[in-house]
Amino acid sequence: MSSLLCVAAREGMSLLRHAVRVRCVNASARGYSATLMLALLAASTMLPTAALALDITASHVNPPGEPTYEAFRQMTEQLAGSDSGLRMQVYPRGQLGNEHDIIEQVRLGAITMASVSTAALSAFAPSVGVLDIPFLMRDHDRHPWVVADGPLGERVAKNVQRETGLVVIGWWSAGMRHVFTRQTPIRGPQELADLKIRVIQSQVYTDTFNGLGAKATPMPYGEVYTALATGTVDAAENDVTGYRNMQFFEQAPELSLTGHFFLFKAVIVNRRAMEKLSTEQRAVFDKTFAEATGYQRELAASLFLSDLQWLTDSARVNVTMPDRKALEVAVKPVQDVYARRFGRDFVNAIRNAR
Amino acid sequence: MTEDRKKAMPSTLLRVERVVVTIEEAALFLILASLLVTLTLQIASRFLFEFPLDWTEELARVGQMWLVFIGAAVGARRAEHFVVEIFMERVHFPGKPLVARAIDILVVGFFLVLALVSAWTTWFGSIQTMPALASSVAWAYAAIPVGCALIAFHFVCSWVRPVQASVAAMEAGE
Repeated sequence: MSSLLCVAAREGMSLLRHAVRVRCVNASARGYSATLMLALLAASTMLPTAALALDITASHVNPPGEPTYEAFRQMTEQLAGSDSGLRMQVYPRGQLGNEHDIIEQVRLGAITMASVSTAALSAFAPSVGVLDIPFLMRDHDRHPWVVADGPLGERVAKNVQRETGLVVIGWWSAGMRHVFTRQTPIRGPQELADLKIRVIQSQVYTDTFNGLGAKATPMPYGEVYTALATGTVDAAENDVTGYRNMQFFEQAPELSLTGHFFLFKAVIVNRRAMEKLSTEQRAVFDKTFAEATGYQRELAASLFLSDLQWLTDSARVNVTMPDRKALEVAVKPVQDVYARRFGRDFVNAIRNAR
Repeated sequence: MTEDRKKAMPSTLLRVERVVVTIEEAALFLILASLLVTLTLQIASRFLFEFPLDWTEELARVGQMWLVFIGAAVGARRAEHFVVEIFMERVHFPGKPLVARAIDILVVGFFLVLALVSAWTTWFGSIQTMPALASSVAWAYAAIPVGCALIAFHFVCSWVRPVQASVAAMEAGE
């Protein structure tokens, strides 16, 4: 058997040598045209480096219809329509794992970019937690962007890069977060007392609700619906769009517009992957990204209103306007702890930014 | 003298392996027991005491990672892993033992590479903290390089283990 293999290999080699010889003869016979061909080939590979095809991979956890999903879709379409040679491949809906997994992959360079909540990012970059302080933002459509687009946002981004190596190229919106309960609507701190409420697995979220007298229960997002249905938790908190899309309203029809957190979505990129872009490609990318950012924020703000409308009209959700001032007073000790951690002046600068 | 040493080497290796396996099995017992306690606590704290503990879920996840990778190492020693053997059993060709040995080397090489790469990833990713336990995820991820190194070790030991004696038979005899 092995000798047979040897014979086959010998025959194969001699055939190959013959073929190479033939090609050499042909080449010398048409030496001139061959040189020309080679020169053309070299030129064709060297000249259009600017338009070299380059894949940008992105990931996030949001389903279609949500602002982050739609913003990435717009970027993908615009980049495909440009002559930059950039192609964007998006892995939405947590196809590559939860936000922690996604951040790990961007750090490793397995994917180019992602849009992740600051609550998840703070597990890698504790300094970003300054944006997760409760009742820090006055509203959901102006105050956050004054902070994020100015020197304060730049300072947070620089801290993130120092801590993780990740570059924050922009800030998107995951909206104001509100509490929804199975039975009792939240009017003030007294209704939160002893309430079992699901929170994101992040220290500031747990501290805030424990500070308000509730029993914070961290659990993965995918388990929230069942937990509400079985009574494992009495309440949960999310932005209104997520409340609608995940159909939490079916199990917890009491929506109280507490607005206790504004959740930023940091758009992070792998530095080395972005350095592969030529100057022209980077310009196209930046322009597309700026448009996507505007679109994402606008959509987040408008969806809040339309979703709230839909929830009250079609889903029979009972919307309550709680005493936000009383809640803020109750959570003051937690605010103070975090203000000390991140620097009182810095936190005040964010709070008072106009 | 050299002959003696040649014989002594494998038996020393196997003696070391026996110690390692004892530690592994003890660790598996402890992890499984603590998983049981942690998860029971989680359920009890949510439904009975009405005071949900936040660290139970994270600790259970860490425990499960160690359980899987140390368990895989013990499985490697007992030769309990899934094997596709139809080709090697049915097809006869010259140099078959050599191919089998090449496969063994490939397996050990694969797990050593996996151990090295995952050790690097564990170090690189160690900046991530688990919020409730307030400690680095490296404590969980370290299970992968440790487990892979142990698997490679057991495969190396299997080369010097007497051919006929399966682990089950050895253990019965011991």
